[in-house]
Amino acid sequence: MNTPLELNTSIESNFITLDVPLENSPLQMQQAIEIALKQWGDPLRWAVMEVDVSNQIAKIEAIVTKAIVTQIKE
Amino acid sequence: MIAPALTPYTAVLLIPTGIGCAIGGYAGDALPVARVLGQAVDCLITHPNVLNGAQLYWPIPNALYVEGYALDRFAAGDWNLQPVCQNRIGLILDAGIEPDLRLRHLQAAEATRATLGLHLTDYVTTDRPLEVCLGRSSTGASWGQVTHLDSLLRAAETLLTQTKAEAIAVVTRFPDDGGSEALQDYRQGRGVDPLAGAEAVISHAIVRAFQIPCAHAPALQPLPLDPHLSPRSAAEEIGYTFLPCVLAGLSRAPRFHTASPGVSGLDTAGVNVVITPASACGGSALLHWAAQGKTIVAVEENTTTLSVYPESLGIPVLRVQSYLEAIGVVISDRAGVDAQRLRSSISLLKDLHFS
Repeated sequence: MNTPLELNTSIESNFITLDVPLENSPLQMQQAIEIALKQWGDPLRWAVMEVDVSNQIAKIEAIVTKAIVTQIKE
Repeated sequence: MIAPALTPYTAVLLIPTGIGCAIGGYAGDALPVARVLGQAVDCLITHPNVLNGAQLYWPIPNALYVEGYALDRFAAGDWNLQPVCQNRIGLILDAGIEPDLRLRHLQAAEATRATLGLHLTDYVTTDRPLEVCLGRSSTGASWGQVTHLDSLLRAAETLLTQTKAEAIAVVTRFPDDGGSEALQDYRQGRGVDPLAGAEAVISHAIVRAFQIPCAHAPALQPLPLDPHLSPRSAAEEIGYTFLPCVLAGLSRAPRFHTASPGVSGLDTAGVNVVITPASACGGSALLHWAAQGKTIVAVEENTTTLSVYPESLGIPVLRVQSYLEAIGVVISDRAGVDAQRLRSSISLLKDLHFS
């Protein structure tokens, strides 16, 4: 974020949980998680919090953010 | 004596906040681990949760105080770490802090200037109370959010444009909840730090937005005396603020340079070993380091609320029981000795029969 944050902009943060299929390598796992999270906002903090080995699922908990312009500047 | 390496031997000590780490989940109670590990390596990279003990801290000359979001970017190869002699620290105070408590924090800041010689700039108050919300997930981890995150970022922007701050310390009013079971558990040295998740959001937001060292101290009213207070939590109940350790850490925290050819500083390629709790292997930084083939040492004794073991994510590790053993592995690695050769048993080499 390099642009000035105006008073009419708010940052919405949300706690989300996602299930992401396990990948073949740590790098692929990391990338798959980032891609999945970006559908919900800008990832701020996340981690794999549980692994369901039998179903091959990684359970992710994360905080994602979105910048929201609350009024249009003239 | 270990012979000097041609390149600095660098270890990363990871003890994530907010997951009830048996060692390091309380009031800087992993600092002894960091002190010893610092003696075994040329450079120790770790995060504020490890080095912060509220009123207590210990200057480890070869330790780099790196906030968690920055660790993730460093591990990804996006940022380099540039050690410094000192930082000018800017202070952000939450507008939601009541006057007496605010004065305590300002006096703590002034004390670090007079007694420690730290360089602080003029400070900024947020344009509205930040309003922190605390929460806990189904896995037992501490999470939290800041209702007015934009106000925090505006304060940081103001600080950076009007002063020459090179690091930011944030003090945010957190809810007082002295009767909660979570807090009582924490004071007894068990359970999960209920503040940790929200604290991480605050520092992560500033580091992500401004690529600058940042750390956080919660502002809380003092708790009543508890004769059963755990030693692990005691450092946070001997003063009015948690700010001194944050300012001490930020005073020499490395700066973050976007990695590109010719850019100076320590890059992720320079990391020799990463040490992590064995049940908390699902963080972004560790996944990156695993992908880079780093030596990863997983400490079983440092239990957490999680059960994310390295094998479940395909992460090769050296499993050890304790930090004592982990430090032995690190010294062996640095000495160029297979750590298994320090054990009594040795098996014969095998023919691979690859034809």
